[in-house]
Amino acid sequence: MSGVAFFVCGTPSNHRGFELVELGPERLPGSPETYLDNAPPDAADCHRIEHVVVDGQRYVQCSRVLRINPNDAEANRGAYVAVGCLILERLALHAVANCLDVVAELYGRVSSALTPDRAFPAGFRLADLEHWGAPLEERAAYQCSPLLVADVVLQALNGEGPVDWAKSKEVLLTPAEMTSADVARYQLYSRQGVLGSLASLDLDRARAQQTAQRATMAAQTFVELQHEWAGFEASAQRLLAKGEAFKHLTFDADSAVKRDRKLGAGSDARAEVPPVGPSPEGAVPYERPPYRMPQAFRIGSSRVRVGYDAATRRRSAAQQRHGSQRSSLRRVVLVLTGGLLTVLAYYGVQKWRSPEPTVATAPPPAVTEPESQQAEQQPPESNVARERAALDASPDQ
Amino acid sequence: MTRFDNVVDGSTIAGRTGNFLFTVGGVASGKSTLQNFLIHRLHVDEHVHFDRTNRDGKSASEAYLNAWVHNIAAGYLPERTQKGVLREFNVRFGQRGRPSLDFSFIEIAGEDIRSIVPTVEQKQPKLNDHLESYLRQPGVNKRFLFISDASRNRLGRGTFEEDVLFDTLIRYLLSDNGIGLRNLNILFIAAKWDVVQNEYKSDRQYFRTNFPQTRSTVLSSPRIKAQYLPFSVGEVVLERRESGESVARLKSIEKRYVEFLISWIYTSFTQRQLKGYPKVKFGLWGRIKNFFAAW
Repeated sequence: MSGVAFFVCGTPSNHRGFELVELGPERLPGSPETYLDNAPPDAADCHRIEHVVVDGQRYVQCSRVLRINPNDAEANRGAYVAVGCLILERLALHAVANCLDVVAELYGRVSSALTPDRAFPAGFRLADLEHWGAPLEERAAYQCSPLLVADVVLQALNGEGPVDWAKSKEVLLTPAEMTSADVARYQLYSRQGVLGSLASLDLDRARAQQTAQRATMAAQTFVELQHEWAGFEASAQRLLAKGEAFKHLTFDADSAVKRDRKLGAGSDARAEVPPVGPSPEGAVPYERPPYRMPQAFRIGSSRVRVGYDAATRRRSAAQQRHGSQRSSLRRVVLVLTGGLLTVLAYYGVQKWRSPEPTVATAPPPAVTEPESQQAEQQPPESNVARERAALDASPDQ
Repeated sequence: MTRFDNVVDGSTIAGRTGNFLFTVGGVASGKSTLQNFLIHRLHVDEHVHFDRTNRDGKSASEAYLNAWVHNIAAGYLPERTQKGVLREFNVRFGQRGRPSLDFSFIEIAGEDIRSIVPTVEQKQPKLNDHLESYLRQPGVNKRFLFISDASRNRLGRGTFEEDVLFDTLIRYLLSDNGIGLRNLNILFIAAKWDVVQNEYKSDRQYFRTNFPQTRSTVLSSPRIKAQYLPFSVGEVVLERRESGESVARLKSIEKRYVEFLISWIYTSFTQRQLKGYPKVKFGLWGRIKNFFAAW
């Protein structure tokens, strides 16, 4: 818990004047002396609760003030010592009670240094005062406050409440260890009436605060994520830009190659080269206009382009001179190649359309007589033998 | 005793002109008492026309000054001024046939003036912000009262604390790194003179003994015009209260010193002399006498 600033101030010495020691846990806002150095009231010892406005912010100051005598002058010009706390935000009931407990403890320590004349010893300095024991921040946040102690004491006096006083000899309340559940178990009077309402309001407030903290954390996480996403988006944009540049580059290279090819195809083809520059109106929408380099890059490249055009022009002139001879030669070659290809194609087609099908399986064997089979098995007669046999048989005819 | 909680703060300083009297000194040196006494004296003198209506028309300042008059008349000396609080009062006084002097004075705690002296604890010595703003205000006639607490400078027991404070402050006022004033018109006052008047032969000896460096600075600079004055409000007694506290009460009022103070203020601003008041401007013979007295 925070939101409280404990202090000890006053004028123990007439000649040193106002002294202030801040004990924390929070720092006192603004110039503390302007709202802490107040003339003491007429009463020798009192509690002072007042509103303090610092830089437009309203705080509550609660202090215990004691009129003292200065330790270095006989006459008293309003010397005092004050121990208190400045509450910077709305605190729970038990927290306020804890703050008062701390103030009472500090006040006891400070006032114990006073001499019977109600003056501090010579050389005493408030600045030398230090706090020891449990940190004040923890002390103020204890769930077990003097309010609960008073509640339990009253229960013991009245013999009622959750504790069986007939059997229990003692009840121990340890502020540093008790949780809110423990406190709820022991509460009786402080759970009723206005005090009870205040306590329940404090609980609700604590819950709401917890929820708000979670929401804040979630919001922080969301903001972090948003930052990360923004970073990612920026990287993607950079990549996209690089990709676009690469695309333009490839397009350039592509168009350059095409142009070279067309230029290489002959003077006739030159006329078909599309003009460099913005596409004319009425161009087909999907026709991509040629890439135009940024102005900054065009100074050097235009020089290169001038050289390139000159070379192209020179090459074209040479081609005009030798163009007719080369073209006739090419035509002959092309005709021959075409003829050869036609022949080959024809042959291929004929081969593909042949009547003798390719047999995949052997035909079944024919059934024949044994004699004929034997005759067939005899070696075939030669043409001379067949002719003699024909001559032998011919006299009857 | 009448107490007021209202404060005339110095939040609107810019653009101010006129005459300003700055009362500076250590904690509990008697600055407030001197101012209270001055106002009381101007009020009770029938030969002086005194007007304490503040320029801004607010009644808080007037109520404050009225309370001072009442308290001194009742024998009460003022309580200590709160640290960090600055109050400005605007008054005018004069006499028939003489110009009326309109001037403002600032009430500020000794702690806020002492802060100009470097200490081990104080990281950056500086004056109170409002006081600094007043001092830096151009087009303003400035006069300074440097108040020394004589009860803290008993013969042979001086600690030169005030000497360091005054010397530091004068250097700061003149330095280009500080306020950068072109000249200084200062009246050094040994307050509570009645406590030490039997120990020192004269106020001259008092200042020589306890303010060696301040005097050295004053003598070496042609930009500083300084005069010296012992001061006492009268006979003061301690009154024991039921609570066990002792408070200082005025038993009788001494008007000699305060009249000299009024005369010095009037003369330094108007270059004129109030009728019936002691002279603060010396002629040739007076200067010769002073010169030899200084030796």
